Amino acid sequence: MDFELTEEQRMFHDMARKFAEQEILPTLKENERQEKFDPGIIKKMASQGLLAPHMPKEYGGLGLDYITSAIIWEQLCGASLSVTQAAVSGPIQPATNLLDAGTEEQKKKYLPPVCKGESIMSGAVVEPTAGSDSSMIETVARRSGNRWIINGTKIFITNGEIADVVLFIAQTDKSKGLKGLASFIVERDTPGFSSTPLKGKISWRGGSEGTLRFTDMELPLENQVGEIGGALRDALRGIDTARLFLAAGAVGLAQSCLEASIKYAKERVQFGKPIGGHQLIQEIIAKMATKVDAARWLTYRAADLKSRGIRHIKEMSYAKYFSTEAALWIASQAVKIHGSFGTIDDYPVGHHYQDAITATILGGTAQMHQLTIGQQLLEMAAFR
Amino acid sequence: MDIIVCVKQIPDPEIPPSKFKLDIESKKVVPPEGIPPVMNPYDEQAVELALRLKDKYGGKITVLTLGSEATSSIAKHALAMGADEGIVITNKAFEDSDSFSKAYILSQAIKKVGDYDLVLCGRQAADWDEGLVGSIIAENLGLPLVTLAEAVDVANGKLKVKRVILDGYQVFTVPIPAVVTVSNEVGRPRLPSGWGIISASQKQIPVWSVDDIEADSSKTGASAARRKLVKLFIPERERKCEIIERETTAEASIELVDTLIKAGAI
Ligand SMILES: Cc1cc2nc3c(=O)[nH]c(=O)nc-3n(C[C@H](O)[C@H](O)[C@H](O)COP(=O)(O)OP(=O)(O)OC[C@H]3O[C@@H](n4cnc5c(N)ncnc54)[C@H](O)[C@@H]3O)c2cc1C
Repeated sequence: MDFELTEEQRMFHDMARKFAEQEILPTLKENERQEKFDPGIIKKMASQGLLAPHMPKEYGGLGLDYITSAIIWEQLCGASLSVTQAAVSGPIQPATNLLDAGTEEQKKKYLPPVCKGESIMSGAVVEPTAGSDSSMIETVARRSGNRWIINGTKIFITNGEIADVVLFIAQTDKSKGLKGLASFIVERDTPGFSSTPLKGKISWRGGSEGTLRFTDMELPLENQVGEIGGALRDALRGIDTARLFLAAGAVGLAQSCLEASIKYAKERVQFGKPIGGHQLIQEIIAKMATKVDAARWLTYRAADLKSRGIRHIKEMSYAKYFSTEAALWIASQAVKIHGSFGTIDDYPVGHHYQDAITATILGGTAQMHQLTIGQQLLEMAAFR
Repeated sequence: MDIIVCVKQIPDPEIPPSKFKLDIESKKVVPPEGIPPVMNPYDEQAVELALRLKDKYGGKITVLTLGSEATSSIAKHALAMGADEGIVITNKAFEDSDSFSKAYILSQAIKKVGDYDLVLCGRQAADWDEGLVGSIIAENLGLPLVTLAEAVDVANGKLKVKRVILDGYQVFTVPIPAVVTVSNEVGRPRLPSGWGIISASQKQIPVWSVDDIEADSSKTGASAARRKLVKLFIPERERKCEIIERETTAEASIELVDTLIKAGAI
């Protein structure tokens, strides 16, 4: 066991951190104030080789292992988790899903442009009545001759408003429940496809989500991805990578909050000494640092298992659940250490605090991960 | 155009002052724990300038760094940015060399590399800020030298060098090959790319020693140093605040100016 980063990992760490400082931070405040995501960052990440570190080289990725990918995501999210998520979510969730379940033709057509930042891809599972519970999916796919006719609505879809192509799940036969679900791929210019942006967010304001509507949308049969009945399993493969991204991103967010808090606690003088000299502040800093470290190693361990192709359902849930919950606590403490200054967006901690709550929801809520861990340990499902 | 860039590893200049420590006895800077050294920022700009020339004219960039084998990470950083080859020059006999000896060692290494059109160095190293090595290399190799370059281009088979001066710039044409030292006006160096990092970390960095570069070790190391560092210390700074209060602002202003003149501040 070796806890040191390799030379290559250290170089990726430093490069991603500098990239985030140079390309994400300078516009973050203004963009968040306007609830705006600038898709230009996707092209910048692509030309830097940061957009799809985990994807195979033949499809436009770097072919890196998942620990190195997690190190990159951690550093980018140290600047902004929401901006990074909006930028990399195409190559992460829908692209890994397509990589596992798609035909060679589908992969060759869609993956390279997504990994090179030339095309934006969304993955759409969630609906107004189907959040954590995918058996409630109501988007219908009806077979008519050599076409599929799709009707339904998808909500909270990352880049839903700007995606060029969407990989989504629909129900082909309600009586079959989860076994009736199938995945499809649709391009934006398909008649019957429409989208609206999600506005009024109190969190994740640097990100980008939208609502998708499919109205009598016709798709050729070759747009089906994978087999009927396998859609949720296939989607979960992509979601597994998204969970790793969120765990790593939460570590980056938390590390940034810790660094900002240490700096501020050394500078801010109250009651005759820097606030860091007061024992109660030291207790908070100590707890923050311990949680960041614990979250980081849970994340790297899950990443290592994933890279080696070892079953890691429980370990990924530990990482996603613990890291995002720790990040939320750490960000809230960081705001408190900054006092009133922490509540304005001139300091990094305010941005992180807003993002941290959402990180606990997408990619599976804390409860879903607790139930997953419970199911793995007790060999009983308690979902319903 | 084939270019050789000399790069140096220095302690990270971004470290907080509290982490900057000296060993008064040995008259050396103590490397800050847990903070890896970095490439001298001016040298990074020299690499950037070399890459701009390569982008335009093609050719090969060789990076030379003098130090320990650990310095290979600096050479790899340059490779990840887009340089083609990195070489570390190291030997016990080179330790504690002064600028003159360092320039001698680098000149020998440059001779061994052989074919080149341009040698680039940073204008100075951001640790000691002496700015001597580039000029002495030019002298050793008998090559034309332009210091403080902001840009370099090629025109009519010669180098066209834009040199920074106070409130403006000069333009020189110099025959090829030449030595040019690079100033920070070059602008932000590019970041290494993901593909660059992968290929750099797979490369072996050759290590050259005394014999490889046919160096005379009596000309290197502490014993060959032409000058001695007498004392190294962090000066103690005293801060004093004096508040000048007079009847009127005009009187206070005059008093303030007088005080500043007496203190040698203006
Ligand atoms: C920024 C952002 C981006 C997103 N991007 C995408 C995307 O690209 N594609 C996509 O498909 N979706 C996306 N989503 C949606 C996200 O995946 C869902 O919001 C998430 O899965 C939770 O579903 P829900 O909001 O409907 O909550 P619900 O499932 O309705 O849950 C509400 C609450 O009930 C709890 N709960 C539910 N069931 C149980 C149970 N059995 N036991 C105990 N507690 C339970 C939950 O933990 C939660 O606290 C995104 C969401 C956000 C905020």
